[in-house]
Amino acid sequence: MSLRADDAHKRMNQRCWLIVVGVLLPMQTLLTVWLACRDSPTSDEMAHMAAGVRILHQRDFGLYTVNPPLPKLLAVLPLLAEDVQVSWRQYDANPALRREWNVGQDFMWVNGTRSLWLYTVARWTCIPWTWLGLMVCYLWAKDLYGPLAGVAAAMMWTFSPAILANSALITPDIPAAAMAVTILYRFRQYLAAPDWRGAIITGIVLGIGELTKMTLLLLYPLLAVLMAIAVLKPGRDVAKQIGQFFLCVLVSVIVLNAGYLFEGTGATLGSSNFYSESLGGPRDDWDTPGNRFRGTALGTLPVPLPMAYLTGIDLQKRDFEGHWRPMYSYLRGHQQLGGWWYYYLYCLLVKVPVGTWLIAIAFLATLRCQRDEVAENRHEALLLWLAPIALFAFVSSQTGFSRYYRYVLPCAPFVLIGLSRIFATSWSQPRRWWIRIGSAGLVCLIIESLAVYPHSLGFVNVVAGGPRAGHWHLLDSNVDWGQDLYHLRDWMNQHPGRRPLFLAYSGVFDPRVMGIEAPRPPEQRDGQVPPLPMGWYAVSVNHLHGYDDPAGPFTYFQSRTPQDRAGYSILIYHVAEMTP
Amino acid sequence: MRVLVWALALEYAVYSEASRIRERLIHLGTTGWWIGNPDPDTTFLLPWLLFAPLCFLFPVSLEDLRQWLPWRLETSLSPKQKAWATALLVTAISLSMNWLAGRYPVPTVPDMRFGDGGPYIHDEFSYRLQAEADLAGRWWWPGVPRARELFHQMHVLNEDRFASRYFPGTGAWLAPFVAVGFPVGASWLAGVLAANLAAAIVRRTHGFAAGLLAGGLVACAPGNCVINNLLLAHGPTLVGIMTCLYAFRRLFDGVTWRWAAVAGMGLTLAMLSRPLTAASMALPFGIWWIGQGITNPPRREWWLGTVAMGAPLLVGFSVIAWQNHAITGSITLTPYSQYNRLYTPRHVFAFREGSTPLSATDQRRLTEYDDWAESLTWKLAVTNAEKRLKGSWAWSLGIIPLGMAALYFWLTGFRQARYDRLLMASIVSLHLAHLPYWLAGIMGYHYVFESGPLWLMLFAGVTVHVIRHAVSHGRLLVPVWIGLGLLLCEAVNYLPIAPGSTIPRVATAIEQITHAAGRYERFRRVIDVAALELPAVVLVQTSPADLHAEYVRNRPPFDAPLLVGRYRPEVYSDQALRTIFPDRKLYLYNTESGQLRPLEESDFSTDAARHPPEKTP
Repeated sequence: MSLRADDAHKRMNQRCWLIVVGVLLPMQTLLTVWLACRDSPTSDEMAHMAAGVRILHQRDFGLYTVNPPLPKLLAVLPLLAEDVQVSWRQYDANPALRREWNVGQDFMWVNGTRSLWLYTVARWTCIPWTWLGLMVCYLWAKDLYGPLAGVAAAMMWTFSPAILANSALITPDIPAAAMAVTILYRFRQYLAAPDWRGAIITGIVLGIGELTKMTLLLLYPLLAVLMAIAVLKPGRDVAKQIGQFFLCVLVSVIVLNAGYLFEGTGATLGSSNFYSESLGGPRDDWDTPGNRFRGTALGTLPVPLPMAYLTGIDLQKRDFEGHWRPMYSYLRGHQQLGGWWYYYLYCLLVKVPVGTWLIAIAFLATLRCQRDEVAENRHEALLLWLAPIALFAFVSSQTGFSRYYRYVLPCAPFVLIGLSRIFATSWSQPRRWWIRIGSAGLVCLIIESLAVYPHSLGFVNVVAGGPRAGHWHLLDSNVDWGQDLYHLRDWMNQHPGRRPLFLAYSGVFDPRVMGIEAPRPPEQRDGQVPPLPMGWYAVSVNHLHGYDDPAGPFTYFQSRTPQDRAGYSILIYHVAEMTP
Repeated sequence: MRVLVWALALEYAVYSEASRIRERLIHLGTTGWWIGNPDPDTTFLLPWLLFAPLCFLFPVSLEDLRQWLPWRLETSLSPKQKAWATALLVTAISLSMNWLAGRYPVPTVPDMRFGDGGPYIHDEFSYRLQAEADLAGRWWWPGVPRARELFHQMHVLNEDRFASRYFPGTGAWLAPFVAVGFPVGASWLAGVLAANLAAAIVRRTHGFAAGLLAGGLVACAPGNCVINNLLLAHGPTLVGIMTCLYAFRRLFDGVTWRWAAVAGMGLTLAMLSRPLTAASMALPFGIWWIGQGITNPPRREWWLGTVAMGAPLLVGFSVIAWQNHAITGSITLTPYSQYNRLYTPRHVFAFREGSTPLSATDQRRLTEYDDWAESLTWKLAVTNAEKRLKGSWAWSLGIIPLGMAALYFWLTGFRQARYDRLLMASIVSLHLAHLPYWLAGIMGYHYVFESGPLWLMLFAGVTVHVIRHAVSHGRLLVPVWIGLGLLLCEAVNYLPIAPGSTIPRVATAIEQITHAAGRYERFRRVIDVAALELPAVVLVQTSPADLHAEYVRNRPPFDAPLLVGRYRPEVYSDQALRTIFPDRKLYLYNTESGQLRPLEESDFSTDAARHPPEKTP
């Protein structure tokens, strides 16, 4: 490269870096900060908050064990500076009873309206996770395809509605996505120059990642496969690299245990009580614990994992096996016990913005043109694509229930980095058609996302009918996670004359805490529509479809036309005269 | 250094916004719209601050810009032409902004514009009275002939001699404009002169661009534009101070007796209007002047300058002594001091004045107004100082930009021009002088109002320095960023950015200042429709809520068909009043209920009093 070209390249690198740090990062921060103020506490956040406060106050990891402690613990740290009231009235030492929501409700009651502020602060504390995702997307895409591609990947991360929405919540999905891509990025760096120090750093990063979400356990076999492929390359010191890999795993396990303060580490497998069929064995009463390893040789082995982590794996497995409570799945108006293998593919179809789809189409169309390049760089492609494909396949294979699009969010950063490939150009190369389509896609993505903001959680793309039609495709955390109470409160402030108001709200947060005093609408029984008093009826779309409740006490509103809405998850109906 | 300044500003903005969101969540159960009930200092500037790193780091050079722009960037104007262009521009901006501020509606009075109404503040009546006395060629009028205790007016000595309590400069400044029936023109003129002098001072220190910026900002300062629509002492004081500072700026370039005389004249004008302000602001420059005499062997020019500077001050002191003697009978007792001693003994510059024993039987004391004064503690003094500092920033441009400039200035003080350091010392001195006073002031800062233009002058100097540095390092986005910030600040000051949700800062000030105007207007309407039997005396029965409201505005010689007085049954019984005013019908007006009734017929009341008629177009 000539000096002049080198200088231009440096300038471009610098400018792209500045656009990411100076434009996208502040923009994402602003959007996320405000989103955290506009979504009322969602159902799972109630549990995460309670569990985080429990760890902080009692050093007890036994609440909400299906999620590792790091995201919730970091989220509640600023609460140390606040006068937080706690109540453990409904706490039970048996994690299988899943009392996290009850304790969360107690937390809400004892703190009153201050809890709204506490949730907001805790959400803000989670924002650095999304910064991490943004930076790694940029760095990895830049390494692979150049700075413009890096900016494109970062831009897609910044404006993707699902990323944006979940970044503003106290949930482990964005931490897991950010850590998944960070782990792989770090592993890639390690593979480029393998040494003992690099292995230790990778182990630390991996351990931190494992403290965010259990899905990332999948990364252990994935890294092993990638390592195996790497060491098979000629000229590698196989023994040394295998040793380094084991060191990496060892360090990660130590970090994981440290995250739980080594509580219960080393207990024998046979000493635990399990509730899932996989670990507890087959039995008649699923509320009674079991242990299929007890009395076997395996049962005498010490487990190098914290007890609460092991319990979490067991309870998560129980959920998927359907032995906890009936877990209904909903897709396109149909509800059933048990999920669909194609559920997450369908989620992608409706939840991914059209702009991103445009970029994806351009990407797929250019695969043929770039196959030589792919062939040359097969290992890079594997590093990037193996993890999301495996994660997606794994989550799709768990068909005990299919409810949450956010379960596949850890795949997102890899896919975005991969898609940014279409922006990879050398400076002498003329602009190609796919870059134009990709640029149009980026613009489209930004417009689509901002048009729906701050209702990003309920985003559904235009082709699928937009967020208004979201509940006809999906429910629960995909469109209605109880996030629209603030909007309902605003609606009430704007329309003081629209009373009486009845509310069928499907979240866990009690609307009365924020001053929404509204009785529940009459419920239908045996398919009989009850008489409705005159007034205004706010109905969560989960209730509209009888989600998780086959009796569907409020499904009769489906025959009515909503007059207004609070956000996209609460529809407001007007009954002008008493119905018979 | 710049990173530290930026980080602290960002921290302040984030803290302020977080507090705002916290309050809304806890008290309303929702945050509502982002710009609903915004903080004018931080809500809109927080995003602006977040994009600062980009602008300071992203390379765009002047050469890049020259390639893109079709026009030349350089100007071919001579320095003299530039000075004239600046003067014209600043004058136009000042007049336009003063007029604009006058066009804002008075919220408590339907269909009234701020500039069309008034006076609004009781000080204004007193200043106007002084101007009228000047026009009549006298210092005072004979006092109220009958029942003087009922006719005490705010800030007016009501003894054997009836006169404004204020120093003579303001009345003299207002007099020509009162004579032509456009009293507020005096304040407008002061605004124009102050802005031009600010531009001239900064131009001499930091160049044409900085001068233009300083002049423009002073002309646009929301606090100035509001005050420039009132009849207060700030106008002539500011003109005097700025003249003095300009003359000192010239003296920095070389000592001449002419500029020393100008400095003295400016200071005299300021001293005749607000003596404490004048003294405290001129103090650092006075020390510098004396220092010049000590450190350099005294030269003829210095001695001549000292005499030239002192002569106008002597004249000023003589005028004050004359006024003192004419009104109080003593050349050392000012009407201001006498008024305080007799009517508002707690409104004084002192700590713990609340513990001063007051004569319960003193019928002159304006009890409700006087009792408003708090006992000054050090804690309250510091709180007031903080309020005044923030107020002077907020009402000049905005807390964030001026706070950033101040911080940058303090951190790099050793690198700043000596003249600018003296300006900063003037500001500090003014704040220190007002430290022992219990009230922060109108709009939280009016006692240090004159520091506002000085902050803007320092801001202009620092800003142009930062811009020059940035441009020379190929960071052309910096001036764009600063320009956007300034536009944002002025937009917040003058425009409802989100109609229905945000109130311009100027409108907030007008709301504060005119809060009693509605009650005066109601009183006026009641009197208009009541068909009073004249001649009459309307006695006003006030409530504690009427703390600042002043209905008593009689003009000498107190023989008008309608006189308005206070209702003070503890001083004069109804029977005594009928004896004192046998020739006048007596009425009682209750400010709380808005009822007007003859004093001797307690069952009488006018419906119009309860329900003032709608104003017909």
